[in-house]
Amino acid sequence: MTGLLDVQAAIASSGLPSLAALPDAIPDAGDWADLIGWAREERLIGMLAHAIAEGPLEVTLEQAKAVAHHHTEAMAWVLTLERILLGLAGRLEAQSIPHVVLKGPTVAHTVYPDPSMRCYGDIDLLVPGRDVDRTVALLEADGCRRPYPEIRPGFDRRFGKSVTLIRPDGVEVDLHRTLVAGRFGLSVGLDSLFRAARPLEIGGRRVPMLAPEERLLVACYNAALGDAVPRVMTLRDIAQMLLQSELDEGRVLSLAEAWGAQAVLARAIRLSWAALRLTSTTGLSEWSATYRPSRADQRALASYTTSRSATAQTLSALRMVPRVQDKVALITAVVVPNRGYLDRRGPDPKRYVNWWRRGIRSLARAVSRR
Amino acid sequence: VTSDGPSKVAVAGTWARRPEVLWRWVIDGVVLLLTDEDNPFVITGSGAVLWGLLDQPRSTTDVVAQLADLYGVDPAVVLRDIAPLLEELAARGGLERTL
Repeated sequence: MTGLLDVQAAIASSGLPSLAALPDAIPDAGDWADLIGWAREERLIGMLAHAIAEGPLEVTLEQAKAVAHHHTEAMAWVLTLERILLGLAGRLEAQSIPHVVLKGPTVAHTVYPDPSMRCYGDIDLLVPGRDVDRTVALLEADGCRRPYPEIRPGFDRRFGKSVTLIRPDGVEVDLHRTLVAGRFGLSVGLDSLFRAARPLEIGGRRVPMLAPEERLLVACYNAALGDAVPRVMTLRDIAQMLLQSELDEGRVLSLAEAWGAQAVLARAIRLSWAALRLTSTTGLSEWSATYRPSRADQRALASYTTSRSATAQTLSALRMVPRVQDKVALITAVVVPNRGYLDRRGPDPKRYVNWWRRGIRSLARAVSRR
Repeated sequence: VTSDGPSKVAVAGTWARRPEVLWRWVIDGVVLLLTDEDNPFVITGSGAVLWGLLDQPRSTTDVVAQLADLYGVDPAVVLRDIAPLLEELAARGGLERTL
């Protein structure tokens, strides 16, 4: 549960059938400051603007002006990101690097009645593992820098989830090899993502994006495994995709089964329905309510949620790595990272020894639990 | 546009949004990012309504008639008010004009 207040759930579910109710009266100054702060933090200012523009949320003229101001700022940022995205996609295309756009712009333009409802803050691109190093080098040549070096040589293209790069203008570009870290990321059918890609039209140009069913699963990975408390925006995306967009639910289930992600799918949909207090159901929401994950899946989920341990995630991932030398490489990367990687994480002079000891202790604990 | 207002010749033609323009609706208008410009800007009020009308190509006469009807204003007044915006948006690459 995300523990949303009723008014927060009502705004986050604006336009969807929900039990959450907006206040009858105009919010007082204190409540309003909290609400607008929360909406900005959760990137839900577009939903708040929608609730005001469509009428259900009554506010003062000053309150409406404040939302309009923040919404305009957010949209100006989104447009700037879209221009950068088009430039990046063109750059990758010119180098024959396959890529698909993930997250923000794809859901904004395809599943919401108006893309201005959906704010986002960075750019996410998926490239094949074999092209990760080349793409990072290309973007670094364009002035991007990575805040953290690679944990071990070859880790990014073999096991990594993504590489974060910061452009000279401060815009963050997340270059993904897969959709989620650890065990669940290693079982995604990555090649099929590129084969099933669809065109997304932005500013009269077409860039590749995931097919709708894969897009839903990306949102589910983020909601179920990403943050300790899922982003409300992601939960809304899931509900929006299931309730108000073209989606082949049978194909979603087939993909989830093939990727070993049924537990992720079920957890994400349950979280979404509970947080937004949704009243409508779909075949998938009913399925998620009754789905019971295996013990192995429960352990894997716990390594992302309750225990959130990188080591436990690595151990869980080892099952998905077929070759012995790759298993060794994965463990080595996590337990014995590059010194440069640790240097960027803090000034502790004993950091390398401490990292090693912590990794070994954690590994021993995790193994003894299995 | 002359000092007496827009000449009909100056704003004649059919207008359409250029597809490469990036834009979003906001509560009180529309945010635009034009191809050759660095910064987004906002148009509000009747300018935003005009942008909404141009979701399909429209002649000046059609645009003026629609706005005059919507606002209950003399078409000559509408023409005088929107002509500079049409010209400016076209000059900055936001609109395509076909004569």
